[in-house]
Amino acid sequence: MALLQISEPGKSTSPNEHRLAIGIDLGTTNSLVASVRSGIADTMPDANGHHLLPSVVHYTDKENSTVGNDALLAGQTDPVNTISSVKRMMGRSFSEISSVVNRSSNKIVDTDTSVPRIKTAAGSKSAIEISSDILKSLRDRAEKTLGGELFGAVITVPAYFDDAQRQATKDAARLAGLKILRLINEPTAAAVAYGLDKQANGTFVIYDLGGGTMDVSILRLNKGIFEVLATAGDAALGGDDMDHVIVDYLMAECGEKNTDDPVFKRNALMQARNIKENLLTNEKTDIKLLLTNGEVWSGQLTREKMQVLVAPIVEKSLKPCKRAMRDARIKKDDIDGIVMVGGPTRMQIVRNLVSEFFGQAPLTDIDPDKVVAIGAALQADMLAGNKNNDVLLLDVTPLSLGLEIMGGMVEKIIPRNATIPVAKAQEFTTFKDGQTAMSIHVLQGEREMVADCRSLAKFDLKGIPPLVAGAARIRVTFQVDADGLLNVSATELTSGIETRVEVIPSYGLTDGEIESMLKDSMAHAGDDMAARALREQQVEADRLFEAVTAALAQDGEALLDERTISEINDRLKTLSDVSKNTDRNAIKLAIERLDKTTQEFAAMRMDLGVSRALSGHNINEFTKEPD
Amino acid sequence: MLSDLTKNYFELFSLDASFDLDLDDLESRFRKLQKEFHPDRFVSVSEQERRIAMQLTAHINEAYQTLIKPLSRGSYMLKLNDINVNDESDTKMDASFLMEQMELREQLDEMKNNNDQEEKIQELTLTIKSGQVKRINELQKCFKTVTDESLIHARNLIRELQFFEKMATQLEELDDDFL
Repeated sequence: MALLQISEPGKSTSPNEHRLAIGIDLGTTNSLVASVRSGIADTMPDANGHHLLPSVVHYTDKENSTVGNDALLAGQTDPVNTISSVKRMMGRSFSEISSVVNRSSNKIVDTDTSVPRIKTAAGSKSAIEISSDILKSLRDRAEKTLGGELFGAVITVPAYFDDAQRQATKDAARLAGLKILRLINEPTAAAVAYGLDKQANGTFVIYDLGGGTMDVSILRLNKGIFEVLATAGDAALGGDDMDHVIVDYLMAECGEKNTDDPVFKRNALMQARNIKENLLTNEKTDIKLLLTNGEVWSGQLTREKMQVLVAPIVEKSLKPCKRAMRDARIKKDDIDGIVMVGGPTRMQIVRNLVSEFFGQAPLTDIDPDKVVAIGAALQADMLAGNKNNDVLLLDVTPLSLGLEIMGGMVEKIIPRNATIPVAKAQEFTTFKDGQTAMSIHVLQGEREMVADCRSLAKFDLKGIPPLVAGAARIRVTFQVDADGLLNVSATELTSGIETRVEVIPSYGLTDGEIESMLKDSMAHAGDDMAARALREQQVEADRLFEAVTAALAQDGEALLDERTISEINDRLKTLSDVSKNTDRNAIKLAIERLDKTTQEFAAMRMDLGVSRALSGHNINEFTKEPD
Repeated sequence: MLSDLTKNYFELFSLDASFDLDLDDLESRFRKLQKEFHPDRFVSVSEQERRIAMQLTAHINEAYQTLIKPLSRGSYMLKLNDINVNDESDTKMDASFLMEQMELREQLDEMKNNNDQEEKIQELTLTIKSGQVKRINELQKCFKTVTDESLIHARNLIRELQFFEKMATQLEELDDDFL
C-alpha cells in the first residue's frame, strides 16, 4: 500500500524523529500549555510550579511587559496598563467591546485602522497583539520545558467562536511565532482528553463554562471517530459574569455603588474572585474592602447567598444545552456521560443544576481547568505524526453562514452543525436590467434578517455583462476549512469573471498589517526573531523536500512522464541548494515553485488514493458491525 | 483538476445510483474515506496536497450529506436525470395539496399566539412526519423503475416534501422560542 504513506500524518523519511508539539488552551481568565511526554499528556508548569497562567498582560513601559501572575499583581496598582479578559475582545468591533472594556479600567483609543485598540504604556494594543503576548509566554515555557524548537501547536477556541474570532486567534498565534497545526474547539478537545484515555464509545455532552464563554457540544465516539453532532453556546456568558454580579453586590453593600475609581474597582473584582474560590470549600467567607475614603469595610458572604446571586447565570447556560440536544436529535436517555470543563464548573451550584437538567451526575475525573489543554496536546501530538493513532475528529460549523439577498434577508448557504471542511455553491442573479456589479455581503447567524446576524465581510463582484434582470448567473461559493475559517468566492458564469476573498472581518487585521507587525517585532527582538523565521522556512523546505521525494519514489513512474519527473527533480535540487543559505525569501520562492510544479501530481495521487480506498474491497467490510 | 471532484456522489462512494440505499453501509464508506483523506492526515505534506485534501474532504462531506437524507437524495437523483426540482418555468402543484398545506400553516400560526400547546405541537409534528413518510415510500417506487412519467411524479413528490421540510423547520423554531 504505497499510498498509505501520505495518509499517515507526518510520516517522514526519518521515522524516529519526535516532533515537539504542544496544545494551548487560550482562556479568558487563565491559559495553559500541555504536551505529550513519554506517552503521557500533561500541562507544563512555570518555574514556580504554577500550571495556570492568568491571561493578563501588564505593559510596564515602551519596551517591557509582563504576563500572568506578575501582571495580575501589577494590575492592583496600575490597572490602566493591565489588560485581562482579552479573549472577549477578539475579533470584535469598537462598539461591541466597549461594554466589556467599560467594566475594566482600560481605555479604548480611536485609530485609523478598523481594529479597536487599548491605550497602554507600550502604545496602543489590539486584542490580537495582547493575546500574542500571552501565547509568546506559553511558547517560551514550552520551549524551555521541552528543550527544543516547536514543530507546531494546536490552539483551542470556544466552539461558538465565529469566523472573526477564529481568524483573530490564528493571527495572534502567527504574531507569536507559533505554527498552527489546527484550531480545535474546546469541548472537542475535552472529549479527546476523556475519550483517548478511556477508549470510550458512546454519546457525550461536553458542558464548558469558562471565564467568558459558555459552550456545549454533543459528540459521538465510535470506532476511532469523534463526531461532533451539534454544538451551541453563548459567546458572552461565563465566570466573569459571576464575578461581576458579586462585585455589584459588594459595591451596593459597602456603599460604593456609583464609584468608578479604577483601583477600587479592580480590588473589588479581585475580592469577588477570592470569594468565589473560598466558597468552593467554605460555607461562608469574611470580606474586607478598602473604600475610596480610606475606611476599611468588613462584611460576610455565605455560599447560599452567592448561589442565589449566580444562579440566573447558570440557568442561562441550560438553554444552549436544550438547543444542542435538539440539533443532535438525541434525548436525555441517550447520553452516556457529561464532561465538565472550565473553572466555574467546580462550583456546586453549577454541578447541581447541570445534574438536575440532564438527570445524571457529571464526570469530573480530569481537572476541569486542565482538560482542554490536555486534549489539545493529544491532538497536537497526533497531528505532528508522533503517534500513529487511528483517531479522527470530525468537527462542525457552529453557526449558519449566508448572504444578504433582496429586502435585507439572509439566504443561508452553509447550515450550522455542518461537518467541516465544507464547500457549498449557490447561484444568484441580478435584480435590475443592465446591472454590472453585485455587492456580496457575507453573514453568520441563525436569524432571518441581516440586522440580526453578524456581518463578516462585504465585497463587490464587478464586470457582470449588462443583461436583463434575472439573466446573469452568479455562483457564490463558500468554503470552510478544517480550522473553521471561511473563504468566499463569486463567479459570473456567462463571462467567467471571478472575485475571491479570504473573509477578513471588517474589524480584522489584513495580511499586510500582520506582516508589518511581525517585521516590527523582529526589528525589536533583533537577530533572534530573524533567525527563528529563517529556521522555520528551512524546516518548511525540508518537509516539502521529503514529502515530494517520497511521493515521487512511490508514484512518480506510474503517474508522470519523464519530462515532468525531471522538471520536479530540478526544482527539488534548487530547493535543496537554496535552503542551505540564509536568504529566507529565496527559500520561500523555491518552495512556491516546487509546489506549483507538483500541483497536478498531487491531484493525481489523491485520485489514485480514493479509488484504492474503496475499490477491490469486499462489501462486507463496509457493513456496520453490531455494537 | 482532481477528478474525484467531478465524479457523481454515488460514484465517489463506489455505489450504484439508487434511491434505496443501505444507510449504514453508506456511513461506513463515508467514514472510511474520511479517515483516509481528512486534512488532519495531511498536516506534514506540501501546501498543495493539504489544499487538495481539504477540497476532497469537503466534497466527501457534501456527497454524504446529500445522499443520507431522502429529500436531498431524491433531488440529486433527479438532477442526474437532468430534472431541476425548482425549475421556475413550471411551478404547478396539486390544488388539494396546497389547501392542506394552508390549513397546516394556519395551525402553526395559531400556535405562535398560544401558550398551552405541547399537545398541539406533537400532533402537528406527527401529521408532518406521516406526510413525509408516505411520500418517501412513493419516491422509492418512482426510482425503482425509471420512466419519464415516474420522474415527473418524483419531482412533484419532492416539491411536496420541501413544503413539509419547511414546516418541520418552522415548528422546531417555534419550539426554540419556548426553550
